[in-house]
Amino acid sequence: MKTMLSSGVGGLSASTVLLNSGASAQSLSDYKALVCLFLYGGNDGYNVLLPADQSLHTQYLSMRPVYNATSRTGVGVPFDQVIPLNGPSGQSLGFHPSLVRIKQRWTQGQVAVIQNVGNLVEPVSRSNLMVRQRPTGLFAHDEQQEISMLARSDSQGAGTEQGWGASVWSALNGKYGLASAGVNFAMVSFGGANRWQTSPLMLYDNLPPNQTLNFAHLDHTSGLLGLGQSSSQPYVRSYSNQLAHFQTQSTALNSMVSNLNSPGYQAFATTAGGQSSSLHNQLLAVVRAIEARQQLQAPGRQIFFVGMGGFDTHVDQYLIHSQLWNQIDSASHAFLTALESLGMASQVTLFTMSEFGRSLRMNASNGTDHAWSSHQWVMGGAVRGGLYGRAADITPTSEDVAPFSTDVVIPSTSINQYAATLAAWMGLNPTDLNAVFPDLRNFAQPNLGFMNS
Amino acid sequence: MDSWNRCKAVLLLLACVLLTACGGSGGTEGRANADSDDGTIAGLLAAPITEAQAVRFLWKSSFGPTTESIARLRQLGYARFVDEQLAMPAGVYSDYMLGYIAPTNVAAVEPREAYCAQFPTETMTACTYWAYWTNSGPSTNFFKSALTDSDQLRLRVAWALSQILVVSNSLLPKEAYGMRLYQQMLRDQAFGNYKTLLERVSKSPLMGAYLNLDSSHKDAPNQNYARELLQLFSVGAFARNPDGTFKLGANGNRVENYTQEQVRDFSRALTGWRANQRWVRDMEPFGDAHDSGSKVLLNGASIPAGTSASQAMSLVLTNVTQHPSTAPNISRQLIQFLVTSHPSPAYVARVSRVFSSTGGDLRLVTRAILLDTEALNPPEQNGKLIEPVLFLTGLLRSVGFVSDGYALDQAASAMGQRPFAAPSVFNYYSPEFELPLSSRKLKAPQFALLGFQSTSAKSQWLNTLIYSDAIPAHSLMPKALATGTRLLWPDAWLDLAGSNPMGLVAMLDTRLTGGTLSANVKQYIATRVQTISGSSSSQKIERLRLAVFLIFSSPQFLVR
Repeated sequence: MKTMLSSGVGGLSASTVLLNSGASAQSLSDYKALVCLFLYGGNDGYNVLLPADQSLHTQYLSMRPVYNATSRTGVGVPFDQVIPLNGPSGQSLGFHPSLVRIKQRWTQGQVAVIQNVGNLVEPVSRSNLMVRQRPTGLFAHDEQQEISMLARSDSQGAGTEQGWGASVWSALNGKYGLASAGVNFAMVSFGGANRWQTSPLMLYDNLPPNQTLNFAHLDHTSGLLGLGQSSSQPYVRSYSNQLAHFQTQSTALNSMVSNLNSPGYQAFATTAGGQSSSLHNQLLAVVRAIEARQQLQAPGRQIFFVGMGGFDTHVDQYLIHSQLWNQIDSASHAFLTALESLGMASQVTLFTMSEFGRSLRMNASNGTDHAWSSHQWVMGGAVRGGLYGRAADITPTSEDVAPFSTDVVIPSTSINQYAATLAAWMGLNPTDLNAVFPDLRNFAQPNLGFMNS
Repeated sequence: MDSWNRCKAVLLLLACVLLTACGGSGGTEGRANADSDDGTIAGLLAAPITEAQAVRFLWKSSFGPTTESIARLRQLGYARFVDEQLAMPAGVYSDYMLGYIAPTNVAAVEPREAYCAQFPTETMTACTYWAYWTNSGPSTNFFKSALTDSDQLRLRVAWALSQILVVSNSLLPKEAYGMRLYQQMLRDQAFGNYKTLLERVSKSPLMGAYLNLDSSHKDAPNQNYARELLQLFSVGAFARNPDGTFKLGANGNRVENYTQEQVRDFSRALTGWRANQRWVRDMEPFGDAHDSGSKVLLNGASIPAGTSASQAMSLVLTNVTQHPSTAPNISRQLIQFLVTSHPSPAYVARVSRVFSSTGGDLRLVTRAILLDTEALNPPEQNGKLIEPVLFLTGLLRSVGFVSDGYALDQAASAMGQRPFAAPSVFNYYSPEFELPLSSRKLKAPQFALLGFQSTSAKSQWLNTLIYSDAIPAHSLMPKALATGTRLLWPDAWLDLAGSNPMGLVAMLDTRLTGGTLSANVKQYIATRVQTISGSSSSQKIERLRLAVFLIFSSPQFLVR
């Protein structure tokens, strides 16, 4: 089973499926896309979803002294700035003040928050943590980034498998026969190289956002490819066909990039107002790619990756973290608004990942340190809004707290369950899901229920 | 299993080792294709070598043909040329400003500054960048060696081994020294014994960090290295015949080489090693961390209880090296890296037999790969797409150049093949990747790198390398090494460009591609060249540049 994974699900290698016209595949009548927003550095989820109930907030401030704007000390969100969630699934909780627009969408049922999710191989708690299987390299950025992007831990040989994004796409391809003459924009990153989309058998498109892709001396080289396409040598013929395809398609890509009047571009830009950031740029590129998917000959299932850095907030966290979430609030709202204007709100789901959460208590530098469990956000028209997972009991000797540190909360929901819920929405059935996420069977609830179908 | 049977199993294992070390097969040592019944190989080896043939062979056995290497090969003939290359001692990757060893408390900056103070002509920023970050110095110096060092064939094999026994600078502490030492070890071992090589790899502190063997303890054996040792570095997931084809079970399915239980036992067998001095010393056994219980290996072999960490590792490596799947698995991949992506089963069988009859002698395996009819006189359907690293070094070596290697490091990175920076232990591409847009089911690993971004980048970099008068040295490159990169266009080529474009293209076809361009492609290129009128010196160089650009863009060149 393990070795089969590296060549695709169920014995089909991704490369052979490239050739299939999908004669035995199910037909696909709709379009869906997943957009992964990776927060590099370890996002402090406990300052983004936090107590809105007075007594719980007081307890929170005892661990995280309130932020004082004059002295620039403290990391706790002041009580009067917490945006209360209210309603049946958020009575005592609220959002960080930066999440103004995300709160509005929460009210409309478009936002799910998955509480206390993190990298796990199997369920663990305080008393059995040291004897059960757990992710290795727990507080190391690189290792935990990889584990969250693979949904595999390296104690199981995870430094070797393809990313779960690539595995999901490969399984969808096996099921629906998405790739016919070659793979266009099936997996696209505007956030740089990443393991989530990495596969030894299929390339993802790592594209600079909103920039053209050019080939030199096209006037001279195009005839060469034409000669190669009629060669009797199979490698020469295949290379010529592929290059011709990329060059032709880059024309479509470049005209998309040059079109500043498309509805999606306009809706995004208008909604964002004057605000811009790397994240805005990347999500704008995703909107335009989705909008132009027919011209780009993209398949009916796409996975996109965007990323933000700066979340490793050991020092002077409050302002940095607030600004980062302000960017997420603004850019995600522009993104979802643009999708709504294209009538595609229910077909695209944006979700966050980060390598780990951060310590319950503030450190000596007005920041927080590496920990484990955190909260993640899922947004879009197909989301079944609300709170998922469960709150942690943070009393120092509770089963939810690590035996080696009272600042570290043990996740009660696994990255596998989180990812499998998203993959199920994209169209994978339980058999596919168990093949793509081998550790999923260690958990009682394979689908967390935060997506409509 | 009682103790007598355990003893028998160990004796049997040792007997197998002894027998193969004595060269149990009947084949003549190292003679390629000795059992072939068509006699062609003898003729190929004896006949004089044309310039075109020399060029084609050098694309397989070096990082690109030069005037000197073409002349040397034609003078010596294939066999003596190969033997001269096989006998050449390993060159050394430059270690200038690459000796920084980080202390174990990671954040210490002062020791880095103390190291860099040894180089007063370099800025602290440059030294820190060069000496510390894994993905600059070793990769750039690899290119420097590939471009100019004499042990070209050894470097090709070392580069191939680095794509099988992968260590990548992702997931590693950022210390350039470690990567340099690991790659130098591959270069030193490239013509040695495969089991010895696996032992060096298994004890490597860098590999120990990459695949978590370092400090793997009997209380919680880490499976990562054991699994990749089996899956990627030796037998492979599925059993192979000597000709590389998969063995099929009774139900027609492939046969798995090992079970999950065996992976666990291999993990247990490899516990108890730790790096004590990154990255200078091999890992050593530590404490009582080794699981000394009995374990089940492959093919009925086992490790009895009471063995030490060293004994266990030796038994493991003997077990996997001698397993019948290892010779075809490794031989086939080496053929793919040197000669062709889809060798015939008979070709694989010939090389595999040399591997198994010599206990994994990489020198003789390399010789068998290159001095084979399928390498010297390949069928038209054979081929491999030139990989980015070879594309870049070949351009410079073919024309003439000055380079410190850095521009090639940048270009290779944009094209998806930065040396020592594979995305995972599965390398940049899989040996099983199939040729797209074809029903032929041919293996074509390098095609896995083709995408919008990488092909656009290839086009842009080719343009930059050919059309720039000089690419300046990187500002953070050590001054003692920095020369920038530029091509040195031969005067004779410039003259021909001015006077005779068709003659230029014909000459370049021979000299750069080894005569692989068809007549209509040559005609096409000559026609394009002639759109530039040709008498002034600036026009001559523009003609020459366009000719070389078009040749290096031709599918018939790129598929070697």
